[in-house]
Amino acid sequence: MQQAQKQQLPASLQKIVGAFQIVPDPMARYKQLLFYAAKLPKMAAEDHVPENKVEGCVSQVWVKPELRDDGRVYWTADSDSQLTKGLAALLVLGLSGCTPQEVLTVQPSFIEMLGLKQSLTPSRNNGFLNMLLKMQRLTLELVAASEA
Amino acid sequence: MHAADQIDVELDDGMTVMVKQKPRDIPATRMGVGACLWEGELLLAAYLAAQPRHRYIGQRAVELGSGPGLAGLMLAMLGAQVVITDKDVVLPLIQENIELNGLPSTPGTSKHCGGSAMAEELEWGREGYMGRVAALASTPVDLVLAADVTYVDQDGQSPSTEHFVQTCKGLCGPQTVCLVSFELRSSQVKEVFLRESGREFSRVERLSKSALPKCYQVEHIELYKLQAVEAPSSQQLLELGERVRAEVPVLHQLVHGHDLVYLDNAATSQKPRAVLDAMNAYYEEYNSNVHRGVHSLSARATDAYEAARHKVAAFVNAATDREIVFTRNASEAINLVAYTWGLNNLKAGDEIILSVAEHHSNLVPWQLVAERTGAVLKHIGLTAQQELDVEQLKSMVNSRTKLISLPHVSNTLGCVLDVPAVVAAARSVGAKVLLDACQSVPHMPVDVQTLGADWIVASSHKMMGPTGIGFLWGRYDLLESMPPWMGGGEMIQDVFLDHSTYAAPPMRFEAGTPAIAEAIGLGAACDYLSSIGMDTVHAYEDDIGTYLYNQLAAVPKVTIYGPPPTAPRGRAALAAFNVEGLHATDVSTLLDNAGVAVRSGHHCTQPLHRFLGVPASARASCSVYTTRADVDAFIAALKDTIAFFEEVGSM
Repeated sequence: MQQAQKQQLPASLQKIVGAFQIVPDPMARYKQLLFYAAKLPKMAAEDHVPENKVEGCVSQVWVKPELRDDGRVYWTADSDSQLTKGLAALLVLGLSGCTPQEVLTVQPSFIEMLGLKQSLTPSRNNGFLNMLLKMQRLTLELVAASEA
Repeated sequence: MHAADQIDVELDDGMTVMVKQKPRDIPATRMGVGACLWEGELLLAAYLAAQPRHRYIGQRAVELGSGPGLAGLMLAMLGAQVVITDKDVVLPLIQENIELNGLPSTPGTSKHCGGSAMAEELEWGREGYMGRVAALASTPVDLVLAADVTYVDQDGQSPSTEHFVQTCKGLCGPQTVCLVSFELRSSQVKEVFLRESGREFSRVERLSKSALPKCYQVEHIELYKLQAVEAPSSQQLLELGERVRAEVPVLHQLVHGHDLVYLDNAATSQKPRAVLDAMNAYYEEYNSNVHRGVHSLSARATDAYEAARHKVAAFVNAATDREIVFTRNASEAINLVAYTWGLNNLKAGDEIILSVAEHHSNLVPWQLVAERTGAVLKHIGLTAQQELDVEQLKSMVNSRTKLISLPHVSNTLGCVLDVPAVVAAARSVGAKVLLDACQSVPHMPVDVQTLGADWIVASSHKMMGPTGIGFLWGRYDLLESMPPWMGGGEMIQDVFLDHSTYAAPPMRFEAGTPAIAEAIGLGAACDYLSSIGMDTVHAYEDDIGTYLYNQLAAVPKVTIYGPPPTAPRGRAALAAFNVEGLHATDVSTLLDNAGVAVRSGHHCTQPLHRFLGVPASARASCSVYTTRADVDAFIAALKDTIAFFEEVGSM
């Protein structure tokens, strides 16, 4: 079932999930997450603004989309928490270059495949879920703006 | 108002013993002595008579400054072996009273449950009196009865009070209970008495007179229970943690393959089997609505629910259980005060003093009330040691100050409030004091009768009780002055179609069917903590908290917030901290992976974190079941976590 779910994800995100699934040990998976964090391109200081801020996270997280002429969305992100930044990096790498439709159809439950024990219950502590939902909302807004 | 001049004691065989003083028998040279001893003695006798009688049988009691020996004689007739003492000139009176009552001087021979009485000379304060005291205490004393009056001389000294307290102490062993019936001739006498007894005794408890007949509820005499309980040895303390741990089921599990190390007690505590059993027993044996039906289950449920209120009252030493209002949690208790007292007493320009370290629960309700009334919020800051700045508070109070609402113990800084200073500042301008006691009531003895606050609030789930219930304690006259808040069943007296009359507190504030099982669970939690003894809980947590602080402070790159354990009022057994270069959630995520549960975030104190200049912190907090092994496991996991981030180059 996980395999079927995985295949519904954008190819770039599937690749990341695969990279986590071959790591057996939880600490090694966290290490991998931190490598993703390190790879995340720096977000411009002027993009750390309230419009880009993910509300409801204990750590501070910002995400910013850009709808390019190719009709695809490209992301930048940042966080003051390293692990949250790693999760942001997964989403930035996995969802950059996706069509808005692809972004909007990503089910939050894919995070369970990463083996990082991320909860999917909405709460003030749930960085990942809030981040994905924010990215999907920003995508919708971009689409609406481009159609208008 | 004077107390009645005699006391009648019903004996088990149906006879009534009248204990009566005969003031005329006091020699004329002792003028005045009788008058003041008279009432203190009667009050003491009345108090003893109101306690379970069987416990006195076979007990050894010494009465001090006995005058006619009222309380001692009564105790002897209830089966105790009593030595009634006073100055030599009073001894003939005592002797006569002993004989009149047919009490033998040797134990076991009287018809009064084997009680006995003898008169002995003890004039405390006289040269060499401590030798007499030591002789009396050479056989262990169970009960000391001390009814007396002492004076302060012109320069504010009170050697008589000092001698009195030293005499009490001299008679007390670790098991002795010393009951003092103390006539207050001036507030200075009380000050000296409290200071001296606080120095000599480990436990000083002002007793409620509410259980006594009205005629004994006189204001100028106070009853105190003094105990010189020895601090438990360090070995006993170490064993206590393990013993309690064994009784808390949830602690025994693996988390991510590691033994759970639960260090999030300031957020919520775990529950001992006794609490879970009490709640189950309610549902399995007598689940029923309270205060309504006349059927047996309803009566049982009502008894258990009200018994729980009584247990909570006793736990914080409230004068009566009518002063305990059950709420959903401490937040609701604060809101109750804000929406009843606050909205009815605050007006534009009035000032409410809070601190920068408030839990949001003690911040937001007042913000809402301030918006509605035009009252102004003021906030005290922190001292260099990161304790609440009471000096700043003193300079902030003025005639517009109507309320000071502060945390008794901060959930983030762990600092303990200087309550006497806060209360004195409040009293100087007639302001009320509310204490958020969520982090103090579960961890240290809290006596609302000596605390000086007008209200305290606390939460069951932080004190080994269930969630869904907390309580408000308020002085009864103050609760009585507060209008109802939420309407519904339980809180009414009579309901008409267009208006209603309301019940007296506490029912006035408990609309609808209450959290019955939860109240019973909270009562069981009070029993559980009381059976350990809050002094012992506090001593244990002082020890484990200091260990936690020192171990954590020794980890490189760690900053702990709040004062050190060596601060004058110490600190709670919790430590909010940050690791340089790491976000608190990253630290706590990896700690969780190692089975260690700590809180991370702002702990509902966002303004405090802003004040400290950090977005969040991690917090490890202890309970009486936290062991040194738990702290060691936490520290080891923290070091691993830091090493992990360093290795990956994320710091």
